Amino acid sequence: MTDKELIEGILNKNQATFKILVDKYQSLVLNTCNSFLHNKTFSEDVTQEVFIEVFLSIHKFKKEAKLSTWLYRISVNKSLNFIRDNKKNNLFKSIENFFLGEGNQELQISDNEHETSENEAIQKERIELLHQSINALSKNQKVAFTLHKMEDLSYKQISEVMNLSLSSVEGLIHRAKINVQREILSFYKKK
Amino acid sequence: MKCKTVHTNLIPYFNNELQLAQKKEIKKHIENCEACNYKYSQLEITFNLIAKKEVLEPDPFLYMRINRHLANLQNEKNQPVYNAFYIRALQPALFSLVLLVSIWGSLKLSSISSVKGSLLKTQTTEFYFNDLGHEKMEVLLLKD
Ligand SMILES: [Zn+2]
Repeated sequence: MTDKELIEGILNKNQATFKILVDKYQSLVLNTCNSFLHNKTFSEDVTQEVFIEVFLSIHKFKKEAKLSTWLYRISVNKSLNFIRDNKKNNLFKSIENFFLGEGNQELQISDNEHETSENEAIQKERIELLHQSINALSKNQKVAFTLHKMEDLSYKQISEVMNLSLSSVEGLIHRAKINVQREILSFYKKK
Repeated sequence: MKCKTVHTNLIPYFNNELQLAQKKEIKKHIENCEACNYKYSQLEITFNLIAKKEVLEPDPFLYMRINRHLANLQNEKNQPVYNAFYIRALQPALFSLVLLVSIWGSLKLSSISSVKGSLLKTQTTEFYFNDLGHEKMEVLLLKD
């Protein structure tokens, strides 16, 4: 079934067609959300929201656009809204907390434990540092960088998702890369 | 080359953006300086973790959950309007009405009880002065 047929089917309130769309694009939506949220449960919840939005606002979809572009856009927006709404609940720790040493706690605990778990803790700390550094980026830098580095989207695809020119996307990704590297380096300079 | 110069050039060095001569100098310094080597290797390892992306398996119950949610939304939509608006608007009005009725009722009740009270009073007064109460009925009949 082509995307065009899928959209026609959903516009005609065909449940079976909607199921085909969910099955076809679930992986794209789920993993895009996870690139921003880094949490399986949160990503599954937001994925559900994305498809509900798709079903309810399919009539707004412009037929000349690509369905995947639209799905990426909804997934990004819903994920960013989720981060914004949960910041006050401390689900997404700020980078300041991380640099204040919260990230080191596990390392200290594992000092007495087995070497592999120590390595695991170091690895976990690195991943956490990377995520926090990306999270500290400005909204546009974060979106462009994440879609490029985590979702392997081309500059052209990102420019379509974000409604920006190719050169803007290029600039955003370059500045994001430098900023992330600076954050990582400044963490290790303090150590 | 000083450590400080290396630090300021570590990111362009990592991104391969330096001139060949400068690149060589930094490479040499990093190989011989433990502190700079540590920072560079941490930057390299941490940043390159981006490529190691976790891929989530699809959730087999997703469609079912979406469907249930959409059905709930539809049910909410189909409920009569008064459920949403009128109850919210009418509840305080209804409550005030009940309150007013109960206030009015209690006022009415208290006025009734004061009438009753005065009646009882007259009855007792009358009874008090009636000496018939002191004698038994049988005696009264026999006397006359
Ligand atoms: Zn040095």
